[in-house]
Amino acid sequence: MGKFFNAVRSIFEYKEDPSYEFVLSNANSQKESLGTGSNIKEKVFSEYNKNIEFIKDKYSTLINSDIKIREFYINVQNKQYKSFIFYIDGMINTDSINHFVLNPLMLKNMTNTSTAQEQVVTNPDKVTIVRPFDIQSYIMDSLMPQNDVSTSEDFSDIFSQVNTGVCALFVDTIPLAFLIDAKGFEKRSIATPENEFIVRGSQEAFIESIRSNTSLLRRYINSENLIIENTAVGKVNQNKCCICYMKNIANPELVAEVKYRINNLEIDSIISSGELEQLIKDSQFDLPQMIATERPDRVANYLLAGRVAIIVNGTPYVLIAPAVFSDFLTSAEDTNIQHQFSNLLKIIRLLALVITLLLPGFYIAITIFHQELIPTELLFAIVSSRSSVPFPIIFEIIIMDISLELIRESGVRVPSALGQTIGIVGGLILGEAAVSANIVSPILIIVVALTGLTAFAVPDYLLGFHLRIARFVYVFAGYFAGFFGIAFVIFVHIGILASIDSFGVSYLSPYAPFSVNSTDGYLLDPIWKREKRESFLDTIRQEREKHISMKWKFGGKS
Amino acid sequence: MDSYKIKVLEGICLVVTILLTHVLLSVPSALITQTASSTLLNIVYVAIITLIFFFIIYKLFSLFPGNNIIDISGFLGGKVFKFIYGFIYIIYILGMSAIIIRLFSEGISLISLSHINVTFIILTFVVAVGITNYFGLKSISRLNIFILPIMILSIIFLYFASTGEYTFERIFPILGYGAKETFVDGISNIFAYSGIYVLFFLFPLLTRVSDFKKIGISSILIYTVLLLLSVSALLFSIPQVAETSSPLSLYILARQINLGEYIQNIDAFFLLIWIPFLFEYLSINMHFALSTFKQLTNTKYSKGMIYCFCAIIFVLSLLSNNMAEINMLNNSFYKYTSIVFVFIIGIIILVSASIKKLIQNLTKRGTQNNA
Repeated sequence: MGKFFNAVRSIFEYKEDPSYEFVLSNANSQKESLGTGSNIKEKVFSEYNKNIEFIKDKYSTLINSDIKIREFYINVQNKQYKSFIFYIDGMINTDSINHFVLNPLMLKNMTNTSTAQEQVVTNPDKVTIVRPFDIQSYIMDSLMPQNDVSTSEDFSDIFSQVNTGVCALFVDTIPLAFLIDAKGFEKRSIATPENEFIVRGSQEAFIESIRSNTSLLRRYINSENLIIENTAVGKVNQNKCCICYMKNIANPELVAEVKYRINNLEIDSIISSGELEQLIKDSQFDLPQMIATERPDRVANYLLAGRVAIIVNGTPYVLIAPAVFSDFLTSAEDTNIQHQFSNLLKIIRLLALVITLLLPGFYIAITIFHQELIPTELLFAIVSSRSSVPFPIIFEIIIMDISLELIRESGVRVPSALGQTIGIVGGLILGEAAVSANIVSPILIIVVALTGLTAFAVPDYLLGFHLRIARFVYVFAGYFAGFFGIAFVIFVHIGILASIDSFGVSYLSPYAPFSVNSTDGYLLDPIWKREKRESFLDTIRQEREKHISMKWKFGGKS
Repeated sequence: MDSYKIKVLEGICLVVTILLTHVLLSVPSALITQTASSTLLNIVYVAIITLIFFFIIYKLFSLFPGNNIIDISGFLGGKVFKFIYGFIYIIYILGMSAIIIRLFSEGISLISLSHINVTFIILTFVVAVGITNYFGLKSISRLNIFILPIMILSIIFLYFASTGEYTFERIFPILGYGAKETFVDGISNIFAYSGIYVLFFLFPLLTRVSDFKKIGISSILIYTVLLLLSVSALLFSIPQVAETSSPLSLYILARQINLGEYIQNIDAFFLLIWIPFLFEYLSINMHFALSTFKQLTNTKYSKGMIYCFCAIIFVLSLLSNNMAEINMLNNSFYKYTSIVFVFIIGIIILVSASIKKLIQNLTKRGTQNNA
């Protein structure tokens, strides 16, 4: 009884609406940036022993085999300063450390017997500036032949840097650490995209190294307005992320929102962009709400359109926000080929989406409830093909759909050469055998095969997953109530799509809310006609090209 | 319910959806029964009157920017009057929704789901409406942008696909039963436009107040064209539509379409289009009922009321014992209540409130002058 009352109370009791509403407003209306959460930071000690003990304790050096601490002396002004460098073996370039860190610090300065004051010659003819000796600037300016050296007083920052392949130098009496970039870990070389292969276009793909990925982007976007901001996600494992956007194009409110969400994650660790996506997306429905791509050219295109990219260290997939539904039916090749070709492909993909989602449901609805729709001859063919099958049609469809999913899953999990064989064995032999054994009808094999085939034409992996789940819902709806059931599911399905926003942008943009900007739509205009950026992004810079973009041809007339 | 604001196109879709739904049901046959061959003429006449009515309410509403009819009733008669008027509105909306759900469910049951108890069909409607209302006006209005154009295309397709059956002479005599019946008695056909009650609630939902005029005029014109197409298709091909037992006038038209040997009967596809459209209509109605309730009771969290309102619609739609009862309710409740409630009481409240406001303004000005 108590449970019943609790259930009733949970339905009717007052609850604070937990929905988080972010609406992307006009880019020029505000420039306010949002604050980020800060950690309590332990400061570096000026005492050598305290520093080394602190590090040894934090990194558990007694059991951690790859944490290296090398102690030595630096001679300055006839004084010896106890020092140590601290790095992670395997993350740094050993040669760099030996030749450009230890060597200058230990050998070269042995001759250094300078007196209490440092003389800096600024003009050999006239002036000699004499300033008090400062060991910190002396080490920084004279003993480190490195191009990237910084200092930090916070252990959290130092640890975060060391974890990514930086070497930290601690010197007795100096309450800070010198962070020397000597990264040298093994990484995969840039290769061709494996899951987003295209014929016409770049053949480079992102890799797991965040810096390689940002450098790839820099190579595609030759502009000082490309901002790549570093941030870290995770309390235990501070994984590095980069937020990339075009300063002069992207809506500042959108950028701030992305930063706000990333910096307000109370989580111990994230390892991949897939995890991050699940944590920062607007709605928890199973639909993809951010584009994940392994192609730098695609990311560059989106950045130049005014979107924001998020690179997560350790993942070759970069996230793009915001994303609308039609983005998931778009291929990287679309902009590289004539608009007629890309539009043909886009229509085919849309058709594929409809078929893969609705065909089994329609088949079941028509054969059970709406036989009057199909020609009599076809109806006879369906009836006769089913005459020897002892199972109800829903059973046939579910059996075949599950088999298809099994074949697909097995194909993914085994080595690629074997995967092909599994596809052939599963698809042809199993289907043929199922028909011969009168478990399923031949027409159903055609329906299921077509459904499976069209699923591969949907370019986005996650949208494919969503369609696979939704297809089963449509099948059951068609089975229980024919077109009425399917209409109900279509209504609820589109209702869900309509309720989703991706970083303040309607998921069904530019159609709902409707935008009159012709370049917004799913189908592409000729490249010379794509004058504006997508209006739903409210970018700072709306114009993408001049009204007469081919000035070489029409310049004289305009 | 939420702070979502709608733009022009969303507003037009919202109003047209409310207006157009009754065309699917009994409005065309009711119009033809009333005015026979002069129905087309009568529709044009009624449309002009509706446009004049709209201009009047537009002018009156502009005195109360950002307010809906409930706010205005509160201004006119205080909290008690606002409460009574608002609750009558909620009952009107829920009652109308219940009748339509029952009518359509009976129709679907008759057409293709004879083996399913009509209670389950009604329940499906109620669930769909509950789900979209849970997502709020944002979802409802965005969804509508996809559903309404397909619905409009289906009516246009119906009109042109039925041309083979047309006998254009059926438009004669052009004045039907006579001039008095067409223009005096026929004015009651204005009930076909009673869906413009949505305009009474639209003002606070608009992104820009100036969009109100565009939305009102465009939606009335679009609806008039669609009503003319539907009625003319029925009039030219099945003038005896009023005598048929089907609660879905347009479905009778869809049944007679023949597209050759490849598609035997296309009527089932129309159901696929019309059912989501009806879901949408009911969702909009429910939204306005909920927002009115929220406004009356100052409820902060009104999502919980979705379950209650769904349950009320469900129970109300099951009250009638048979089709005859529900048809009678539709003809009396919808037709006459709508005329009285939307066109008469609505305008009386607006005019009275405007007069009160003018008097208040004059008094204030007088006091300032004296001071």
